[in-house]
Formats: sequence, structure tokens, C-alpha cells
Amino acid sequence: MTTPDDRQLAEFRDYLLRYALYRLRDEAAAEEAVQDTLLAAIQAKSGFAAQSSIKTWLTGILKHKIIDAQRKLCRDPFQLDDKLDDEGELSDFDSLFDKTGHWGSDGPRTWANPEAALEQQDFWRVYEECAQRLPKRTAMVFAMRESLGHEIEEICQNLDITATNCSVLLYRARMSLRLCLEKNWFGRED
Amino acid sequence: MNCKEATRYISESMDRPLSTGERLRLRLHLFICHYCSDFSRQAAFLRKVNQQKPKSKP
Repeated sequence: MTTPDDRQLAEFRDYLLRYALYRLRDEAAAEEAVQDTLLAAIQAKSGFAAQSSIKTWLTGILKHKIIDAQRKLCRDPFQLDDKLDDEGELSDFDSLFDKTGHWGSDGPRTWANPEAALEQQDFWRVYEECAQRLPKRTAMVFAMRESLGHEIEEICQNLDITATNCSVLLYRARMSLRLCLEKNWFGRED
Repeated sequence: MNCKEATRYISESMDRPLSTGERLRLRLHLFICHYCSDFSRQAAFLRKVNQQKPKSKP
């Protein structure tokens, strides 16, 4: 098999950009990660193993660049809009529970046929809007866990946060996203 | 275990194995609480959404 030429590599730019943007949720950082990926690919064309497709190979490089970018974003003091309190009083969700810690009147409702939503374009738009509302670091940790399937230890190590921080952020993401989807999608009929 | 704790354990169970005690208490709670059972299904659905997403719409 032949090694890909530069033009062939560049053809994947859009795909890589969407891939990075989805994970980083930051346009400048995504651009940079893709740029670095293409540069690395051009310099290391001989490292392209013929058994994988160019796309798989590039995505593999991009994944590493994304981790670097995530680490950088997470350390940027301007991104730290979400609290990193250890162990959670997690008072931001208190209003959902009554004094004894049980769900109040706003408890989760049963979602009718959620699988069907996956087929609907509008659902993905609503989901995206909900995800956009998450604080940046929360969104990033959630994407690392749920989209990329990283283990907690890996996330902690990459972002230099404790396992407790990590589980608190994931909890916040799940609580917020389910609430947002229930309000804006699954509860629409009533 | 109340719902607030249960939701924490549900979330954590998706990221680390719970201890036998934790698992048992959570299972008991889920058995009697339909809110938390729904929460648990919805958290699992969120994972599914994220795993499918890059294919459907990156």
C-alpha cells in the first residue's frame, strides 16, 4: 500500500474538525488540534500502517492531540467557571429534592420511547443545546467519559483532578442533561 | 438511602464498581422508588446518546 500524500490528508480536515469540536467544545482549541494532527501526519507518513484506513490513522493521532488540548483547557483559569468542590454537598440540585432528600414534585418522569428520539434530527439539536449549557469543564469531563469511554483514572490523570472531583462533575452533567432533556424534549406533550 | 444519595450512587455506578453494600442498598432503593429507577434509565440513555452521536451528527 502507498503512503498518503498531503492533499489526501487534507481531505479529512473537515471530518477531523467536527470530531475535535464535538469533544473539545472550543473552536480555537479544535482548530489547533486538527492543525497539529495534520502536521504530525505529514511528518510521519511512514508511520501509517497500511492495515488501517487513513481516516482511522488520522483519528488516532487526533485523539492524542485532543487529550493535550483538554489538559490545556482545563488548566486555563478563564475556563474554570464550574466549581471543583470536593465531596458534594452539591447544593445546586437541592431544589429538586425535599428536606428528607427524596424527589419533590419535580422528580423524573418516565420518558416515552427514548430510543425513537435518536432517529430525530430535532432531538439532536435539543441535546446539543442542553450540552452547550453545561459549564465547560463539566462538559469536557462528561464527553471524555461518555463519548470517548475513558476510565476515571485516565480522566483524573489527564486533567489533573481528583477522582471525587471527577465523579461530582459527571453527576452534575447527568443531572443537568436529564433535566434539560425532560424539560425541552421528553416533557413537551404536557 | 434517600433519592439524593441514590442518584449519586447511580451516577457513580456508571464510572466505578460499587461495593457489595452500596450495590445492595441501591438495588433496594430502586426496587421501591420509580423516580430513581427512571433516573437510572435516563442516565444510561445519556450514555447511549453520546456513544451514537459522532455517527449520527458529529
